[in-house]
Amino acid sequence: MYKRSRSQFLAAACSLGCLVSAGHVQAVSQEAGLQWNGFFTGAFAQSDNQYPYGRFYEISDSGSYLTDTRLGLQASARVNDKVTLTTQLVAKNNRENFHLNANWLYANVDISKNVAAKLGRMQQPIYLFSSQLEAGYSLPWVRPPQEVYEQQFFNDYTGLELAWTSYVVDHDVSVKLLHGVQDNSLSAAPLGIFFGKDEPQTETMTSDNFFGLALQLEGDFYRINIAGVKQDLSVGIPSEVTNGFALDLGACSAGSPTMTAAQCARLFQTAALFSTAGGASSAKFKGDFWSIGLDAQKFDVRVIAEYTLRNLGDFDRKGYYVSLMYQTDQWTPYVTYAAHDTGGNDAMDPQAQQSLALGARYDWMANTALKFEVMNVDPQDGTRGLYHIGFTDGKEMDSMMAATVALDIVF
Amino acid sequence: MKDLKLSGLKSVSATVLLCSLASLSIADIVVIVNPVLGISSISNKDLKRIYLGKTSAVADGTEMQLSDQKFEAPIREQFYQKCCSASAQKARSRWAGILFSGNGQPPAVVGGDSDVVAWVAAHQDGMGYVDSAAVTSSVKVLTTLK
Repeated sequence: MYKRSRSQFLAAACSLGCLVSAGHVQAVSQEAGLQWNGFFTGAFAQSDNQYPYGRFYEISDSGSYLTDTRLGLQASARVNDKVTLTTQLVAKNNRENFHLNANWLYANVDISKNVAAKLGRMQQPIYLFSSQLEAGYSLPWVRPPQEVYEQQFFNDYTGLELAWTSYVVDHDVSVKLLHGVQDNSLSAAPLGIFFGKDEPQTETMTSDNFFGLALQLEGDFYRINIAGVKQDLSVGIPSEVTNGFALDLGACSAGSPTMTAAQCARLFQTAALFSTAGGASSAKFKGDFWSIGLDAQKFDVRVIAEYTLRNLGDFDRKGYYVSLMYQTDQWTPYVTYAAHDTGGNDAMDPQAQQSLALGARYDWMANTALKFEVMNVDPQDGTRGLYHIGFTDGKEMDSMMAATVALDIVF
Repeated sequence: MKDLKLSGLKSVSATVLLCSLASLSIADIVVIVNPVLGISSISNKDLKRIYLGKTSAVADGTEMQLSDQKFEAPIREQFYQKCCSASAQKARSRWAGILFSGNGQPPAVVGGDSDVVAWVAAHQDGMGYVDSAAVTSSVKVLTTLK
C-alpha cells in the first residue's frame, strides 16, 4: 500500500508540467487517487515612478501583468492514517520566468494525537500568512504589506518541523520547532549598494544552521502568532562582482578612481565590513528574526497587525503594519498603514518608509475574487525605502502611487 | 408606462417572495453522519471547530471527512450562519487558507440534500448537513440547527 501510494505520488508530481500544459489535471488526479487543488492570480500593477519598488514585486511606471501573476498546484496523497505527502508547485514570473518550483515537498507524520512532524521543504511559519503567501485568494489584500513580508530573506526551508497542537480552555494552541537549511538566490539591492553600483545584482544566500520557534494561539475571534528564528547566513557573491570590487578598490586607494568620491567611500566601508565577515567572496553573518501578529475579527470588522524585527550582523531593522477591514457579503474594503525603518544604525543601507494602501476585495463568484488597491509609498530620512535599486549616493527616493487590479481563483 | 412599472414591481416582489419562501422552506438543518460512528450527538462548539477547519476529529477521536452542499444551495449559507457565525463565502476563504497552508482539506462539495445523504451513507467517517426532510435511515442525525 505504501509503495503503491508513494509511486503514484512521485509519478504524478514528476508529470505535473505535462499535466498543466495538457489541461488534464482533473482526469489524471482522479485516476491517480490524489487530491489536487490549485490557485491562480492574474494581476496588473503600475506606479508613477520609474524605479522598481519591492524586492518581490518590482512595480514601476512601465506597468506590468507579470509582477503578481502566478499559478500553483498542490497535490496531497494520504499514504496511511498517519502519513501524508504534500507538494505545492508554483510557477510565477517574478525573476523566475514562470519556471515551476516546488515551494513545498514534505511528508507529514502524525506521531500522536497532539504531535506531528513534517520532513522536507516547507514554509517558515513566521508570519500570520506565511504559509499561504502564494495563494492570493486566501489573503485579504492584493499582496501582503512588504514592510513586514520582505523582512526575512527566505520564506521556506528544508528540514524538520515538530509541532505540538492542543485545544486548551477554548483555544487552539500550537507550538512548532523548526530546524533546517536554507538556500536561495535572490536579486538583492544591497549588493549594488555595497559595491557602489546602481543596479541590484544576484547573490546566493544560504543558511545551514537555521533554528526557529513558532507559537500560535487561536480563539473564537482572534489569532496570535509569535515566532523567532536564529540563523547563520552565508552570502555568496558572484566572482565577477568581487573581482570588479577589487579593481575598483585598488583604483580608489591609488587615487585614480573611475568612480565618484561617494562610491569610493562606500567601497572602503564595504572592505571594512567584509574584513570582519570572512572576506567579500564568502561573507558570513549571524542573524535573527522575530515577529508577532494579531488577526482579530468581531462582527464584520477585522483588524490585522504584525510587527517584525530582524538583526543581521550589526544591522537591525523593524517593520510593522496595521490593517483595518470591513467585511460584507461580497465586498471587503480595507485600509493598511505600514512602516519600515532601519533605525539609523545601518550606515551602509539605511531604509525608512511609510505606506498607506486603500483597497477592496470583491468575492465575485464561487472561488473567484477580484481585488483593487491603490498604495502610496513615501521613503523617508534620505533613503531608498524599499525600492529595489542599488547605490543612490544618499538620494532620497521620490514617493510613489501604485495601483493594482488582481483576479484570484482557487480550484 | 405606469402599468408596466407596476407590473415590473409586482414581478420583482413575487420573485423576492418566492425566494423567501424557498429559503423558509428549509425547516431545520440537521448534521448527519454514518450510522456506524460511535457518537450520537455533537456540541455547537465542536461542530463550529470542525466546519471551520480547527479540528478534524469528533469527541471519540474519529477523523471526519466533511461534505458540503453545492455553492448555489440556499441551505449552504444558512448552515454556515447557524453553525459558524460566518457567511459561506468567509468560510470558503478560510478553508482556502487552511488548504494552501497544507493543514487540511476543505469539505467535499457533493451536491444537494440527496447527494449529501448518499455520500455520508457511503463514507464511514463522513459528515454532512441537510434539510431535516431529506434524512433517511441510511444516516444518523447528530444535531439539529434551528
